[in-house]
Amino acid sequence: MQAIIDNIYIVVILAMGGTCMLVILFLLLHVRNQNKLLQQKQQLQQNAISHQKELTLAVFTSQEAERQRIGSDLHDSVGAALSTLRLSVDQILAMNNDPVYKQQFKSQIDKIITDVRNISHNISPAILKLYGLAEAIDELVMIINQTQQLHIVVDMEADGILEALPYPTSLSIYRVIEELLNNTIKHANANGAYLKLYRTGPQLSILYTDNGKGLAAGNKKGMGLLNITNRLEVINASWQIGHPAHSGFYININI
Amino acid sequence: MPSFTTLYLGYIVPASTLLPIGYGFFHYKQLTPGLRAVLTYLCVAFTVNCIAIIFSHSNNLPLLHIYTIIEFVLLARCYLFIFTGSTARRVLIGMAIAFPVFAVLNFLFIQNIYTYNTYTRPIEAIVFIICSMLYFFRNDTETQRRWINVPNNWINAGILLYFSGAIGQFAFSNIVGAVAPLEIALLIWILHATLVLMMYISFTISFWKCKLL
Repeated sequence: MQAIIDNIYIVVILAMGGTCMLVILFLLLHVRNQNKLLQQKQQLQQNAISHQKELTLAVFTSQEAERQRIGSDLHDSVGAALSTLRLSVDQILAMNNDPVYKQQFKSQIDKIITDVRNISHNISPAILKLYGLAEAIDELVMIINQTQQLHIVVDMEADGILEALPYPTSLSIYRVIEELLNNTIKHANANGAYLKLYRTGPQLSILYTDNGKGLAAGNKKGMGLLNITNRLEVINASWQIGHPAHSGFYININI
Repeated sequence: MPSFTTLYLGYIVPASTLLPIGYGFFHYKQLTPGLRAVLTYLCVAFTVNCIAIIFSHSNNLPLLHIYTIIEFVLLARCYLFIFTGSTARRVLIGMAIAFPVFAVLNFLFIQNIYTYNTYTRPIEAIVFIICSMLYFFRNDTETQRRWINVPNNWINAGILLYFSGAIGQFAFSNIVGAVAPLEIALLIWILHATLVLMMYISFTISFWKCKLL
């Protein structure tokens, strides 16, 4: 009986200690398992985001290829045909002596040629490939300033970085700036915009503001803004929209 | 100078309840309803502990019978916040009604109220071991955060550790109390007190993690 009682003490102590160790082991395994699952889930999410970025990049790439084709076709066939038309009209007008009529006719054809050239250029800016991002931005700003729809001031303080950017990134930046300017012209009721490209350490920063009505609080992203943010995500840029000290549209981008 | 055992069992471990209670009240607004229910349980546990210490000069085991009922109901209430499914809630509410009835019948007709309730307390332990294991198995696929950052994980870890470790002691309390030499009995009580202390520490960590969310 004494031996049984002694065994009961040992059993109780062993049961308490043993169960404790088993529970601690179970908890440690559970923690390890949960952390592994969490890691896998995060990896899957990361893969999904990367895949989404790749798809978006593929869409933009095919969009650009299509634009290039249309731009080339406009320039090569329609532009050339209009130039030929102008020559033919010159010959016909040579038979007509009314100078006002001649001038009006020529002006209309010249305007069509200029418009087609501009459309072709806007669809696929050849200057970006030939002369780089800084020149492409300067030309874009000059064209808009000439229309007098908007007065844009540009501060270019990032020359070293701009040349070093790969072409797809330059193209995305160009499209983003193009979209920002379009948004200001169409929606902002602004007459002035400011664009600054500058260095922040090794990064390229772009600051764009206008003196329009800005984004309303809680405004859903329109197609233009969505396009901008999609393009920025594809090139792994970060951005901040809106600034408490600025009432118009404000965006600061870091690439 | 009281011995270490007296200090540990009589003062340190009972006072350790104040750690999660103090932290819980200090950050009360940041606690979830489930953690506030745990805080209620801790307050009751501390109160009963104090009463037991006051009456420790005589046989205060009737208090343990009553405390077991209150502990079961309060912990079942905590699990009502954790398990939101209708079946689980019905089972918990059913047990919260049936267990007190069984416990009362136990000390009225089955076991002497002045002895350890070695039938009801192990059953309580089994119920809460199952509840905490169910929580961990249910949460196996619900991973949004690291394990250590989920407050409920710490609550269930504490409950699982305490009740699993102490179930043997609950079941054999009367035998150990009747025939064990004092040193062995005290050793077993020290082990029990350590499990209680670990449970209170994990509750404190749970409150801390809730505050951080």
